[in-house]
Amino acid sequence: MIIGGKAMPPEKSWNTNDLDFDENGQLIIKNPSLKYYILEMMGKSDPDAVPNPNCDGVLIPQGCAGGQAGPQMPNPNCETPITAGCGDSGKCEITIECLIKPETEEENI
Amino acid sequence: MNLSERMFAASLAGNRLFLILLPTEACNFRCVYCYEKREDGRMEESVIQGVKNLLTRRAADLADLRIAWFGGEPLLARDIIEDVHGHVHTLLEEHSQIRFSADITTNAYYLSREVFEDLLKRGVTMYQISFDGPREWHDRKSVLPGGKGTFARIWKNVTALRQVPGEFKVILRIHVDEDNLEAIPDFIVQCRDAFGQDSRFQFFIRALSRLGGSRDHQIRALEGGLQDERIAALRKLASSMGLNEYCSQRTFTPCYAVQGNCFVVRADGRITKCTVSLDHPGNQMGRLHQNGTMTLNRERMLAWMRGLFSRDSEALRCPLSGFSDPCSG
Repeated sequence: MIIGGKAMPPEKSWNTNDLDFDENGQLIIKNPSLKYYILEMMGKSDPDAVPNPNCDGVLIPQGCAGGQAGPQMPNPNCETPITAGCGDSGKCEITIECLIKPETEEENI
Repeated sequence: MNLSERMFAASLAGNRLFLILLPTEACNFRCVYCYEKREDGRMEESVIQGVKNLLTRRAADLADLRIAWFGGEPLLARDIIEDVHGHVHTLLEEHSQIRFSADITTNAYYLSREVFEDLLKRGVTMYQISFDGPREWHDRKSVLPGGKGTFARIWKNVTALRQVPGEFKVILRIHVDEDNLEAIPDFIVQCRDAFGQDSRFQFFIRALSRLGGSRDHQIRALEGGLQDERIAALRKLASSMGLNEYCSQRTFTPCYAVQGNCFVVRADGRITKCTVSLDHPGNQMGRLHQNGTMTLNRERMLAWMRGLFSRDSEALRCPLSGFSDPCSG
């Protein structure tokens, strides 16, 4: 799955049923799309950053904004080496499969 | 009112933790508008250990840790603050990814320059201190148990902080009601003369509210229809005089209690969401145990977070407003 153009908007179907707490009071996000959205929003170093106009149209969670690849937050289960995002080339090379995989649904953010 | 997507995400991020700690629920003041019962005293040793163990358990996964010291008067239990901060700094050495911040809401009676510098050194960088207007009004509302006024000592303590080098923020919260309304402009001038050139001191002018205290009937709150207009006029006056306005009032900020990663830990280990309606049945979320684990009422926790998803402005401004307890049967 590749999200094109801009950040994924919140899904109206998200609700408190997507949440739980562990014994340490830590939030557990049970819905993968909500988990991804939170990762995306919290991963941005500048929440007001706008996509690089030179970007090829693929906005990734940590890259593209301002044309710089941001800090990477790879899923440890990802099997594909993660490369930098939308840098000087204007090409974004990370797909969301590398950040959220089905088997990690119950992990905490 | 719009909830920013950043705020939405931050309120649900599992790698953030915001603890509001009440190291004591006792207070050396008897403010006429106080809503707290002041029945419980110092934080129990098992709870202090619970706080430290909780931080240890969470440290590896934390990106942001904020501790807010509240009370009662937290400086009556300064040793607990020192104890917890000592533990935090040990954790920070082991977990350098954690961004740590700490603040305190204090009446400043015991906030001498020496105490302030010690707290600052330990990482408490933001201070919220209230004034009920100039001396003649503050000394009628914020009093010691015997009725003696407190303005002179607090003013001396706060103005002494100007000489402290370094980065910190002091938010001077000015309460306004029908009693002191006419006196506030002169107090603003007094504040300008004392702090106007120092951007580390910021001013938060707001209406005095009835929050459920036993003497609420004595509070002459600003008339509802004119309240916003009067407060806005005073803020404008303060701004025109060069006082630094505490910026959070300019933009809508949801109540901290809607955040799923925010907990109030009372002195006896009870966990609540809100620091105002402390004993409200719907505000009882569970308990912090000595080993650092929590027993939480999940359904009630989630009910307080409903505004994040409904985007209902009232549920975001005050989650207890319109609260329907899912656990009351």
